[in-house]
Amino acid sequence: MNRLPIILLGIALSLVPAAGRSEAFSLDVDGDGQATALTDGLLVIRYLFGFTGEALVAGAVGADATFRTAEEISGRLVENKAQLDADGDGSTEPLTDGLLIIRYLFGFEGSALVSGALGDAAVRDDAATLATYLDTLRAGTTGGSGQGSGVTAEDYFKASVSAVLLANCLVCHNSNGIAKGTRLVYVDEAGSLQNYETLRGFIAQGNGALLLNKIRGVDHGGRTVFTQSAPEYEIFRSFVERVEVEAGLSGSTVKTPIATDGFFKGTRLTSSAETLRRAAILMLGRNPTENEYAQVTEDDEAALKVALRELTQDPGFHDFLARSANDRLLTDAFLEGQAIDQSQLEGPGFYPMGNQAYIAEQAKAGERFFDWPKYRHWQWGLARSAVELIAYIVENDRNYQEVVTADYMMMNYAVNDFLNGGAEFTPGDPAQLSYCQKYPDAPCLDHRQFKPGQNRGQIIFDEFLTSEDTEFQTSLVTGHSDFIAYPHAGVLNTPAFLHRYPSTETNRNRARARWTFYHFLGVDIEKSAPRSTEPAALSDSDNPTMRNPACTVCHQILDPVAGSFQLYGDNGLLNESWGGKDALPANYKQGLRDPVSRGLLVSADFDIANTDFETLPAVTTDFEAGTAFIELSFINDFYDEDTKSDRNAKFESLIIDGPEGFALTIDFESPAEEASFFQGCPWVNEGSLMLGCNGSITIPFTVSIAGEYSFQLTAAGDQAGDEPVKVLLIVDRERGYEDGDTWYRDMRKPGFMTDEAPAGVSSLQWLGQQIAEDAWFASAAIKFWWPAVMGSEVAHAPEVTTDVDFETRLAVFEAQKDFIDTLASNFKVGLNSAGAYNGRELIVELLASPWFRVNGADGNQNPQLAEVGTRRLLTPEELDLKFYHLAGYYWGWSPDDFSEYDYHARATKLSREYKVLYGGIDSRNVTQRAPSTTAMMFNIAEKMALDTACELVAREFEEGPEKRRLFSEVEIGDSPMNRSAATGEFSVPNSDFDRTYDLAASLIQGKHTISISFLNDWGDADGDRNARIDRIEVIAPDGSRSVFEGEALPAGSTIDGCGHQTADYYQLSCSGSIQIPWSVTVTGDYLIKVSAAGEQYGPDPVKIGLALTAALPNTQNEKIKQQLQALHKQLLGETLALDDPELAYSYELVEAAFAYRLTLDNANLNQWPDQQCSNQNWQASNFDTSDSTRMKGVWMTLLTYFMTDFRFLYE
Amino acid sequence: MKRRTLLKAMSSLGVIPALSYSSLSRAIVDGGHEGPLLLQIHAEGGWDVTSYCDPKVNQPGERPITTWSDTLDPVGYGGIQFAPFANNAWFAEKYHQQMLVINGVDLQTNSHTTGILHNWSGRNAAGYPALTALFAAHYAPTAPMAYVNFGGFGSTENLISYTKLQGDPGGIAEIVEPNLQGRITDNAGYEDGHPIYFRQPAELSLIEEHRQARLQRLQARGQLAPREAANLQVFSEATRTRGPLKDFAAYLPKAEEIFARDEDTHNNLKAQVQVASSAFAAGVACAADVHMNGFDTHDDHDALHKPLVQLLNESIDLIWTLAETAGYADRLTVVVGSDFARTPEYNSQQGKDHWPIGSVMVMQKAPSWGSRAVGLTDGVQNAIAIDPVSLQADSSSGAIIYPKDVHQQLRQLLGLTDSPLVARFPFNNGAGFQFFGDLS
Repeated sequence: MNRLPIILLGIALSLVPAAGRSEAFSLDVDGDGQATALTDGLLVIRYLFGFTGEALVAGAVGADATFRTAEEISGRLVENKAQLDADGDGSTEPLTDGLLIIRYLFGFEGSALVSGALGDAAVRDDAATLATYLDTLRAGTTGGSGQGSGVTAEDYFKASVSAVLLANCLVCHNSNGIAKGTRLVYVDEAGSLQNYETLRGFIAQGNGALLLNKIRGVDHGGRTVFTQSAPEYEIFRSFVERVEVEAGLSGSTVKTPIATDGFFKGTRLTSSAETLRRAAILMLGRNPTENEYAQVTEDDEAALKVALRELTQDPGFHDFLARSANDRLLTDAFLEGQAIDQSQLEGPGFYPMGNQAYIAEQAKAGERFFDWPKYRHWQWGLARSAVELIAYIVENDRNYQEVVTADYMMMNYAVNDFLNGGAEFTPGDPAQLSYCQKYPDAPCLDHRQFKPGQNRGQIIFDEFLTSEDTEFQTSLVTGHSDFIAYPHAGVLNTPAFLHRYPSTETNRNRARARWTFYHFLGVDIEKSAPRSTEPAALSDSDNPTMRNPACTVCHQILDPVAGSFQLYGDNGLLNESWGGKDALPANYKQGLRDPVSRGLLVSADFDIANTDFETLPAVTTDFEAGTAFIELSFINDFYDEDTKSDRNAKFESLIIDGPEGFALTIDFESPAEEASFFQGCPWVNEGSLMLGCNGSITIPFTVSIAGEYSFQLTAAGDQAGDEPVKVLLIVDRERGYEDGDTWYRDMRKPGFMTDEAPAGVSSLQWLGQQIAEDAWFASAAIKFWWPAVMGSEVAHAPEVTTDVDFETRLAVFEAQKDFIDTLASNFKVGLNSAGAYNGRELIVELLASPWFRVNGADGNQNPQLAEVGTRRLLTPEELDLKFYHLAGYYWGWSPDDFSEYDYHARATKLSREYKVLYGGIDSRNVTQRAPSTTAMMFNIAEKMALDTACELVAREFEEGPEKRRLFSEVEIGDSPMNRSAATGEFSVPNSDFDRTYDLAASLIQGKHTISISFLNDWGDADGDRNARIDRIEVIAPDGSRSVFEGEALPAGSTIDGCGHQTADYYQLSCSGSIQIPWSVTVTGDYLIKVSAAGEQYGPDPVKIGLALTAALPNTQNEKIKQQLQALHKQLLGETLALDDPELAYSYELVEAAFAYRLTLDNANLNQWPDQQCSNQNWQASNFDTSDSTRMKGVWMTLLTYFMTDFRFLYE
Repeated sequence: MKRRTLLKAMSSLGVIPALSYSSLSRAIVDGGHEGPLLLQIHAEGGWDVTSYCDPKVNQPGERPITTWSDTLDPVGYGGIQFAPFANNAWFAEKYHQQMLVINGVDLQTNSHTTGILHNWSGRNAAGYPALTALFAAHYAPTAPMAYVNFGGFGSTENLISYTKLQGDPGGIAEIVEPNLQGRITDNAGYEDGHPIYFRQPAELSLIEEHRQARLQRLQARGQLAPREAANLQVFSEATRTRGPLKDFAAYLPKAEEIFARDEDTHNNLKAQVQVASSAFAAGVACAADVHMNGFDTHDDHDALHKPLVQLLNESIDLIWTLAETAGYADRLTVVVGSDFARTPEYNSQQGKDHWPIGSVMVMQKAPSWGSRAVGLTDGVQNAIAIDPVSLQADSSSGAIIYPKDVHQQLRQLLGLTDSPLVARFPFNNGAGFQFFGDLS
């Protein structure tokens, strides 16, 4: 059946009077409240096979079934048979529709659902479309039970909506929930009429579309609840429609959703081989090897995943992981000049082993400032601690939850030494590490090598910490308390993460909490709830994060997580307060609390200049009945060693007057100890309470009558120094700091969501465990890696429904969410037979997904695919690597450029000078990558091509074909006019003409050129290397001989490079060649014998090359075509047949470039200053820039053309 | 005295060295942009307008709002008042006639992310472009670096690509003419400065000819996926429009002319301004975002804010100095803004936290609407509703100014209202403010 009958069927159904239709039909055939495979599914397939009577129902009816008899069951199925046409082909068959339904109810998905079970004329012909249909059918919202049926909105609510609402909405939308301030507040009662009226009233006011959008996550504090493909969404949609019809709303306000059915329908995907190549380029910067290619066969997804997994075994995968992790965490900012304050070793800091090593090295250096690579490596190690941990977990197939739970950190040798980490490192090759050569006495350890270790080298600041000054204005730690057992919590308390998101006294770890939510739970908390737009709410100073609903909506989620970072101070050091018990700031502990955010009832400060007690001015406040805390603080303690004078504060009494004659006098000589809290050396002395050092007295204060209260303090001071005694009087509804506190009392307690962190454990370790077990963690992991694989952020739910592209964005968002949710579910239990939470498999799945592989569409009709699929701009790092694997070196890098401060310790053009200009990030000021090329960026790409093409070509042709990276198909003699017939290279070890160098070749009749090249010129102030050619003898097949003398070359001979003729030979004094024209008159085997000698100098013998080149006028050179074919594949990823028009276009460029090169008098590649052949490392090697055949210049042009091609720069 | 020290000393006195870049006095490159120019300065972190263009003095019964008002009063020039803080007085006196201050702009947030988004796109939901992107896409879509962004908000919504720059003219000079390998120095037989190239121009032309043909073939292929189609289009434009960049190098300041990173604030705003100005002068750019950070002064506010404000003022002065030198001042609009503002009181660390009511400054050369401040705030920096036309306080039917109102007016001022690009990004339900007078 084609589509027409289905349409007619729909029309027919719509013409049936509503009252005449049957009740809602669903896949719950037996009516027991659930649709299961072995009851309802079995009933359907038996019915479609024609079973009747007991054979139909035996063993296939649920215990709680409403419909039990064969008559009842078959009656329902007969009446609704049309809806059982799952594949929509117009007929209802057991081995298609029946099989599809029972598979569906068994939970089959994807190809497992549809394979072999679709009718030839199936309309719903893919798994996604089919599942959506069956979702709807299972929910009972299709066909006979559809909108407009006799089911009222109220009945429908009770039957279908209520349960969904209680299960998914009530958690926030209740009288105490986060959404209690909204218009939708429900009670916990199944089928509640109150809930129905609440929801109905909301919809009836014209908010149906708003409701459905909220459910989908649009501007919804609770994020996405259901996507439109979910059956629950369909239930809400159906309910909305019913309410709107009953409410008489003219027309429906329900937006027509964009179907996600077959989201990729109509798009083309990359083949397995193309996918493998693209993955290899993006992750590793190289093409797959032949062996890797051999692993994939088309239409075999499993084989593709095996091959992709193999790619992740490449050492380069580590760099991909670390690089990608940094794109999220941005901790490489510390390699870009941002200071990592935690790393200080000069003073008596938290790392005595590092300090002592530093001081010892400083003493050896004999100066305060000195170069010590290990210090830089220590900083480098701390900076990379977060990204290296993530990379380690993934590449070692460890449970990805360790990202937030690992009880270790990754350390390089320096960090391991200074933190007493326990890992062991083996020395590396000094030749590879410049600092090893510079400091040969130190162990040669690669600072880029990381191993897991535990921080057992950190201390706290307390009275056991002693130090002595050095002669270089630094301090040496001489004693300290025990090293602490650092409570590792994965990335969360790595130095890099903590320091990249530092805190302040007012921020109180909220930035750390925000980014924890973002990176590891996939939630942007700043977008998670509507933010108040009322200035009054925003200017609320009554501790708004605790009390103002406009703020608490976020802060009740955010602040417990901030609290879980409680032991980490502003700079991320554990228990950094003096004494090492907490990380609370001194101001807070001393009572200098923030009056703005705290909303203090009273905050008054007094200068007490007298040593006699004085009664200070009263301060007043309105106070509601309840308990408050009066806090008296002494804040400027002072002691003069010379005069032994000491400043103290003395409190005699506090008189409190209130309404209705309330009066209370607190006598500080004997305050009720059980009701008071003291900080700061208090003692009772001569009728008063004295604070001998900075501290406070806190007194609970409870009244039952609201009104104005006044507070009048009588106090005195022991004067010392230049300042009067300073005292604060605070009345607050929350208590202030108490000894032993580790977190602010005016913030929510450390915890996660609704749970408080338990006492006696590291709250951050506990938090890591909670996050790891949270339902959002798995999907957050996918969002974390998505940009690295796809080159774009995960789609966010669009926020404004009137935007022109709202529906497009929403469709993308929903489709991605469905994909991510499914993948996350599988990630939790184990992908591809790997263990649970395997990060490697997660990346393989992303690479194998259509989101990565979309490679074409029908026309350009689908804007939903604008940010996924192929041809995204390579990042500077990716382009750097791609070039490296093609060329064998990095653009702009030489071994002398070793740097501890650059990505992977190399300073290249694309990692330094042009990184940001080419759209990259510096992790500091520029944190978003550019998505497309600008004119300036294209110039950089072109400069790379221009700067490197000459060297690449020249170096390539100094090697034999088997060693070349790019030009394995041609010899330099192959040109549009010539074909290489034979080549050879020879060492000429002596300076006498006592031997010949022979080249055999099978030649055909026609013009040829004999070339003799000097390949390795070398010289310095003391000497020079040269090649000398005495004679060339050609032996024909018939034994006849032709002889050319070096001192008398035949007419038409040309010479590239410098040289001169002597009486006996011709000397090539620099790299260059002699070309002798020669015609073959008889086809056959020839032997060329060259008598040559070397003028030896330098470490190597003279090297010469012989070549025979045949002229092939008017014939396209097949070898050049093959070379072009290889370049198209290697550089652009294009697999072209030899007769592909694109190859012909490239060949045209070869011909044009060749023609131009022939016009040049000087064939050398270095026609300085008008043409310069760069050599990135002249010191390491020289190369031959002569170009007698003109083809080096031609291939330079072709390389420049390819390296500036769209497909070279976009993968 | 070192040059840097000298410059600091001079600028602290309100004196900016007279810069006479010969490079800026050139005519626009062939085919360069000759139309309007827009430069936006992002003062990131949330500036304190009570110590800047919306000065506030301490109020009886309220906590101190500004320390400077303990001893000083605001300074007024024309219709504008500035706080006597940092070098504001010098700045206001010199530039008040070029300036409209819009105070009392309600950013509706205390979140940096949202504040940046709201202030620079006009909306607190994602999906709208930066004004600079819109401006560049309208006026100079084919200029080689029409929209330059040095940092800060730069959403383009696919209207145009942005060129990300840093304040390093040396790096830029290396790539504006890719074929230039270097220049000859100290070589007998050649004049110093003689260029050395990688390849012969004829070969580059050959490659370019084949490149463009290849691009046409790629674009003509059917069934391109949207990403490839879009990127191919942008790439193709980049290859075609880059010609004028070659001449841009001559406009860039020399290394010794570039301002070093500011030692107090660690910002290189002046260098950014210099590079942006060169791009304007050459006609290769049409709009630019320059960027400084550090305004998020949660502690030690006054001490930290002062050098930032000073640098900001000096940089604005530099913009206009260079614009006059290069002769494009008549075409230039400068917009200065921030995420939001800072609390009208100090916290216990003598810092100021986030406050949603901020300001925007708009500058042109000798505008009819200059020397005015519009928008009102009360003594503790709450926004006051005003009549959209009279701009006077109107508590009954007036309106609060939101970023969308500012953007709507800026679009009108900049001639963008009728641009077809704007239709995709409308601002509905605006109050119809007339900050610049009747622009219709």
